Amino acid sequence: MASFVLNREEIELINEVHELAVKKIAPRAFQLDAIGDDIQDWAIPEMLAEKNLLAPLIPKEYGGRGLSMVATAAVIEELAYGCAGAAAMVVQNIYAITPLLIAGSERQKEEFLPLLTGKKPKLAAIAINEARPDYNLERPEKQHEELTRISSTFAYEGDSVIIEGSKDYIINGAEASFILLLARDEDSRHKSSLQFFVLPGDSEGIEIKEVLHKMGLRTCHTVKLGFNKVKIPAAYAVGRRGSGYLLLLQTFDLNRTLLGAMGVGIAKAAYNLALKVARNNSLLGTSSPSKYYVSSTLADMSTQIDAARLSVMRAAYCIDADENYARVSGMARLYATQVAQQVTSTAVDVIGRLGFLIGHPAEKYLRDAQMLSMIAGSDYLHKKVLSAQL
Amino acid sequence: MFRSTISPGDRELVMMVRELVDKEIKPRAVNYDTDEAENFDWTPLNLLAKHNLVAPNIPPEYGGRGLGNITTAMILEEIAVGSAGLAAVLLTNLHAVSPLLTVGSEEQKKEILPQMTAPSPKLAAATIIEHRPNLELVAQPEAMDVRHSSVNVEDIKEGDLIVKGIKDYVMNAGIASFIAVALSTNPAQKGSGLQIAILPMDTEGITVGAPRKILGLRYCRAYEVIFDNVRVKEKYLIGKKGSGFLVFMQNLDRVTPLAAALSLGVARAAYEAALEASRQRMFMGRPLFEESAVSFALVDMATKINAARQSVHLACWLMDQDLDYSQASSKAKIIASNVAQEVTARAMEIIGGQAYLYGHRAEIYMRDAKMLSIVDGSEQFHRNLLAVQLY
Repeated sequence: MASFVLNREEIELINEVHELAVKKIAPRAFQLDAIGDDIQDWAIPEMLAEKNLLAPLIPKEYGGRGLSMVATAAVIEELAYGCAGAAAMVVQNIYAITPLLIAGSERQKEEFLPLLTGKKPKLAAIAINEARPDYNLERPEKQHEELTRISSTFAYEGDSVIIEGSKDYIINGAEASFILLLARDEDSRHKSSLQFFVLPGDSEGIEIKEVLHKMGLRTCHTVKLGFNKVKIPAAYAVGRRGSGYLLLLQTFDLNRTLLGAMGVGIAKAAYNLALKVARNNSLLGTSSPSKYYVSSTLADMSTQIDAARLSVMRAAYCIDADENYARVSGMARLYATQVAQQVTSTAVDVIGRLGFLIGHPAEKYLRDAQMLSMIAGSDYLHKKVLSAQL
Repeated sequence: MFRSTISPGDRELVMMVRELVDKEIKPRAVNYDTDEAENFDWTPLNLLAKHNLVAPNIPPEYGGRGLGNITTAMILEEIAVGSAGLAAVLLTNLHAVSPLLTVGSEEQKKEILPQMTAPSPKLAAATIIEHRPNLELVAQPEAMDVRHSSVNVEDIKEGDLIVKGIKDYVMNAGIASFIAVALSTNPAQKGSGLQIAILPMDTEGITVGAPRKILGLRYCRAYEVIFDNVRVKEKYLIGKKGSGFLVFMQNLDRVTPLAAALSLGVARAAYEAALEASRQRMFMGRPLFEESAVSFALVDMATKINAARQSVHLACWLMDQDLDYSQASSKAKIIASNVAQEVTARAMEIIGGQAYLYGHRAEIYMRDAKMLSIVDGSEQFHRNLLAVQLY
């Protein structure tokens, strides 16, 4: 199958990434997972930068690898096999560059894209979610998640733009060399007033308000950012005026395929671990009921993982072939997340008591997989979008 | 994704089948879901035969269309959307023909295959399940074993085999012109004693019992077949001596993805029916679809069908490329029949009360989906196959 969608070079690259993920990234990731996510650790970005994998989608003319979506999905899957957090970092970079790739001016591309392709590791971030007051669990406010309820604002001031607001849940946000930010026109609440801006990471007025401590994906540093009258040149507006909403939807439609790929990677890691444990405990085969139970459970897991991977590959294939991808990418993301959550939880069951101990890989996979249904749009949001397309 | 590998002509053919099914087969599907009628209704089969779709993967030199496995799977899916029972008749036919295509000799192919592609179709039946005289649930008299057939060779005369025994749940047997059967040449040997043969139904000594009452797929009737000192001519033996078990397993693997395509068809039909109902049924003055509980359930259904379809097409693609397909086809079967059962059950909930009425199409889908998880190797059987191959 791989030979149908990938060429020889790409397959070699993916094997390389697999080696890197298993031998170098994974050990570091387990350390980081134990320490917690207080700081941005640069060890993993360094490893990725060395192979030019921080954003492998970037076209060759900007120094990137220019990979297709299918190959990128395969790379993300392998990274997530080693550590989902590392994959999340790369996915966040790709989210950040997508508006630039679609609608950015040549100058913006030349200025920002090469930052992610150098040997020195740099990160990028996309800031969409608004910082909102805490949910009150006892009396939940009526808060429907809506992508377009943006309260950060921009205002033109001669040749520059002033940005004001605060954004939450920003992976890579603390040390990003550039941030893509979605804001609305000061005097309008309309969807057509939304606009993306690219902010250099060292602009004055960007402040880290809070470091978020997450359940899973702890290798990627996540923060809440405040933007206090950040002043940037007007040339940093991305796309035409008011194109923010369309760009946002396209960015989501394209890249949620990669979230699916992350799910497949985590599921595969959990499956292989469970298989290894079952083998070491002589639980494979069909000669006794307990063996049959474990083996057929594993057979089911691998069946689901295969189906999830094929869904992801199909979505990526549609993107590369420029077919209609909005629906298939949503389905790929939903299915792969579901499979990842099921498989990681079954893997803990197969492994037994050890799997519940903090520090056991199975437990990390479980937490990482749970995070997938929350980042870059919750399952709820994606189902909502999909149900409108049925 | 794999769909893009088929030729534009094949794609048009699939679209043609979709239209045909929509117009001619779907409206009468409820009538086909019966095993009461005395006479078998040949209309849909004649219709398909007119378009040479009864066994579409037979190579052109024998009069068939010579379609690849992906296209065949897509066509079966379309037919199963209309009537899964009708698709099951074709599937059983393909199952019986498959050994002939893989290991049959030129003479055997020339004799049998052109009859199946003729405008008035002749079908074949495949015997898989053994006759069990005693369905004692508590103590099974002997373990079920596919490596041993209950049709035994009693004698050999001038190279011809004289066989005796009973096979049960033989689909198509009452309407077929040929029957494929695995013979046990030596009860002491298990796998290596099997021999596949395909023989005309009118051979002396073959008796077909009355159709059995079955849960789903009712258009495809199942019978008991008795072999009473049947003389199997040497020219009807397929493959080398002792190759029976290998041929059987290989063909099971080859047909399994097509059986999974039937599950896809049933799942899709149920999903479409549920989607339509959710737009029409009102709940508190609004269409049911606007309830997120309902629309999200529909999203889940579509998502799972999509995933299962990719698995089925992967197995078909691997077969077309002559790569290793055995695991992929077991996986395709498990996931497709799983998804079909889940989707058809959910669809009934969305459609609501009327779906529980006997003869409503949603209820037919659910019974068909359950049947499909059992025919052509049950899900458990395929799980077993996968479990012993865990690497």
